[in-house]
Amino acid sequence: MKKTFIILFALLVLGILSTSCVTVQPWERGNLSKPIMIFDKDPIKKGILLHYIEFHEGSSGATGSQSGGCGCG
Amino acid sequence: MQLVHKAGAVAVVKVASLFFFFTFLFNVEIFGQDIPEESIEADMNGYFDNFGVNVVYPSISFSKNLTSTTSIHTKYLVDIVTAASMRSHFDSVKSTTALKNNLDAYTSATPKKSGGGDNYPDELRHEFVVGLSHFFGEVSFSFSNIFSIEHDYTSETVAGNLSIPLALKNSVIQFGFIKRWDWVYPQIRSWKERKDVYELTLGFTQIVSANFIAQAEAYYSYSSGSLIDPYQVVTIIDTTQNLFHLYEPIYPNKRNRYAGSIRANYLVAENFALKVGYRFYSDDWDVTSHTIDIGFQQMFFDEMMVVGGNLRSYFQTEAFFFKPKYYEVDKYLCVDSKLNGQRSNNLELNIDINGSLLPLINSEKITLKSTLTYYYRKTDSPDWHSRLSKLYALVFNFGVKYNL
Repeated sequence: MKKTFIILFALLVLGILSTSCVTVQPWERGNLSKPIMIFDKDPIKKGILLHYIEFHEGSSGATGSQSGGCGCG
Repeated sequence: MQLVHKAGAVAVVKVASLFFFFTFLFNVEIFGQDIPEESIEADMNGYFDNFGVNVVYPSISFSKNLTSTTSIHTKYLVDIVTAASMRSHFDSVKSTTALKNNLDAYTSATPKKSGGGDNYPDELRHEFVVGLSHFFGEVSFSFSNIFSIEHDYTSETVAGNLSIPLALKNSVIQFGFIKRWDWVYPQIRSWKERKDVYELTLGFTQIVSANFIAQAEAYYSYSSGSLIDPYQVVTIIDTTQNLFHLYEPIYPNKRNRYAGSIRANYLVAENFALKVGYRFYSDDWDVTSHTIDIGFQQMFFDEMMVVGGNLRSYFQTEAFFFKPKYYEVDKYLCVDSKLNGQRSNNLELNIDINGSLLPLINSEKITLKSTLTYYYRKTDSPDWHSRLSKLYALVFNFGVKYNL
């Protein structure tokens, strides 16, 4: 299981790297700084989503956020 | 001592309390590369489902820059259950945890005179967060301490995150760490148990083009201690005598969890972005899941208004020790729907409006935020308590943010 996990993540990263051969200069990043392009721009809203999903589903992690205090198994 | 019950008796449990027992307490954006903006924000959140759980939980948060490279943030949240069954019927539930602790094997309501007992409902949870972010050149480090307390549960968490930009900030690598100390002392049990959790995350964000950014994350978690849901009851059916016995759940006391995800944002048009994501999860309880996300965000009025939507689909296998029904005592006893095979869908709509668009407010510093979410979950077998396989829930968030 652990090997599968490591291989999967390596593939994910390689997938990103393989498509990113061109360096985007800082002055070319205007579009990337728009609020609609930012990952998890609203952590509070994200927390609400995770709040009830974690209660109803058996998985967790790799959601782009850190959290605490979950008493579940 | 042998306690049996006639089949047909009903165990009514504190479902709503359970909801918060399991709640996510805090959420920190771990991929941020800028110092947090100074702001104060008040939110009102609500959750309503067909299992009878109705909850509201207001929160207030505050961020302030101490210097050009250091900022602090705080948050206070309180959970309030507005409608739920508060009665329990645990008087004869066999508790293996109590046996382990040399306590009476059969539980009874604790003699507390206030707060959370069956006759004194107290469905409040208080959460306090304080955190610090600091930049060392381009490298940023953040630290948070989270403390949560309610009448039957205490949790203390420390979380740290390190972000290192590379290649003219076209790439960012992130390391995250969490350690959590939890104490579980349900009022309907005679024991107090500890739970420890470690979490590690490794993230990688990559600018692919001027309109395309992607992110990958790997996650590992190790939990030990009391991993059961103490408010659930496992019924052992004795078909020969038309009787049943009630037992406390028994889970493995360790859990290793792995997850990997990738997501991407692509600017399709000047003010329109598509967002997609996929997450794989697996653990040594044999729970495996796949999550697919697809959404959009559209800006209007010179970025002063944002409208968006997101659809999330989730598929999960059951834990190896989960059973919908028990006819004899097994090594493990688990009826938790969360560990059942399931699929779910989550449809979210959001709208953010800057105050400058509203004549009554007329301030660019104020943003009104609202989100409405519909959640549907279908488990492979009916829920142990509600006896329903399908869960429908509505979740709302309304917030006011003021940039300092």
